[in-house]
Amino acid sequence: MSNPGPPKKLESFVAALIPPACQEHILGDLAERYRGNWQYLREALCVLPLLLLSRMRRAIDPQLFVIEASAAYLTFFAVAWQFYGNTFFRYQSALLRLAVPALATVGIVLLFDVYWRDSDSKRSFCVTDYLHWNARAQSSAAAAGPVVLFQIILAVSQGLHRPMAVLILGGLASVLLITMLRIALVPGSLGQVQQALECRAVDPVRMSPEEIRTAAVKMYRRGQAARNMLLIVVWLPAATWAREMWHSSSFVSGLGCGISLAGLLYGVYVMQKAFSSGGRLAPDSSPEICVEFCRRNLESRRDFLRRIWLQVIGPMLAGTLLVMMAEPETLVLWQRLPWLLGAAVFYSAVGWLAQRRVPVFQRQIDALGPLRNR
Amino acid sequence: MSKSDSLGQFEQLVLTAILTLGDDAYGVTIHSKAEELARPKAVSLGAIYVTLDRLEDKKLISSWLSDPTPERGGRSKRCYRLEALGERVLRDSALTAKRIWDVTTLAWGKEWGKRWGKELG
Repeated sequence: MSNPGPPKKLESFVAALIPPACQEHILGDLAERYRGNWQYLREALCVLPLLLLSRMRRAIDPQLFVIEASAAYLTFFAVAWQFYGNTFFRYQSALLRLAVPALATVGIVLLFDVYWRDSDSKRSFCVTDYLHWNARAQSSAAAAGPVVLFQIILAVSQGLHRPMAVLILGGLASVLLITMLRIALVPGSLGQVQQALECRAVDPVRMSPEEIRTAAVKMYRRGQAARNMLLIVVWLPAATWAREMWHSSSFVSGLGCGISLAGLLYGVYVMQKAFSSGGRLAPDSSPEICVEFCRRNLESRRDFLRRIWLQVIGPMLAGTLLVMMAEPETLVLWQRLPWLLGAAVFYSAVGWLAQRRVPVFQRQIDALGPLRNR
Repeated sequence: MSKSDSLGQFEQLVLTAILTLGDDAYGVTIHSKAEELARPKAVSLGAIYVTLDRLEDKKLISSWLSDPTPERGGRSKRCYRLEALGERVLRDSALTAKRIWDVTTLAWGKEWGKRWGKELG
């Protein structure tokens, strides 16, 4: 007697739990082993945690993950500072308390990465107008709702003493920042360009002028979206530094805030330029113009990452160190030393990780070579 | 020695299962074969999937989706095959296991070796 297979409803329920990337063959294997509803459900639930861990491991890009986790933590830190100033940090283990919602945010975004389908980009919500080309940026943007929900639960849970405003705003802002970072630092997951290039590598005839044009237009939209996201996100650290500069008690501290703010704003300006390089792309541009546009865009973004130390990280680190040297009047210098070292290590790590993305961009630029010489 | 050159015992089991199954190596059959090789220990299906993902990341095996079949509810199989690197690494592991077998047989006596050889089939 042949295997009847699981009931449709049960199979749909299990399918909803299994990450889309491996759904097809896992559901097939489970159906082949089907002996009864309970056995099927039990086996599916046993397989699920291991599958999720494996998919998460595959989804994690270690460099990007460290940058995202740091960005999320810093966002919560900045929001707490913005709302409460020094007073929040006088609570016992205040810094540790901020780590919990930051890690939860990164974890939820990672889960969304695992469960995200590329085809979901066809859903019509306004963000996709900007983001429909980058699956990883989309999945992080879509995680905003669950992140906020989780932060509300965290805020209302007893005994945790985390202000709701900090958690909600921090959660939202960190999701935006992570999305922006993904737009800026993940050229490899631009499915369309990559697919188009891979098609060409296998069979040059398969890459039609229309495909080249589609890839270029998608890249152009990505640049536009990155600019818009940048403007939304950057207000938070900028406002924090401006506020600190305004209220600073000493000249050195004010100078430090000013340098940091200047570094941040200049970084935004350079990044905006990098994303908008190549000018506007007309929908009926020739393939040659489109390929050239892609190359210029990727090169300027690569150059931005190369100069990130000089243009962004350096001034921000110098400013932060000045503020830390001047601000906490209650601490003597040796007590401030761990904070100073921590800030230096943090900024250096972010700069180093960002610079390590340069080869990723370079590989894509190299892959455009054969198209240009066509 | 690169990272992919060192194999865990479970990875060796899964690679051996793929090698033995040839063209018919996919989740269900690999699980049955690995369970047979790991006797009397039980092997979970989830552990097989995780190991297959890891071996694929190490470029020791490759996979592709087959055509859908009715006995699987119209779903495809993900079939696996050993890559050249996988074969080399498995051969190295087998040689190490053989050396261990020879040395333990020498130390514990030939009778022990014969008895265990028979029990293992």
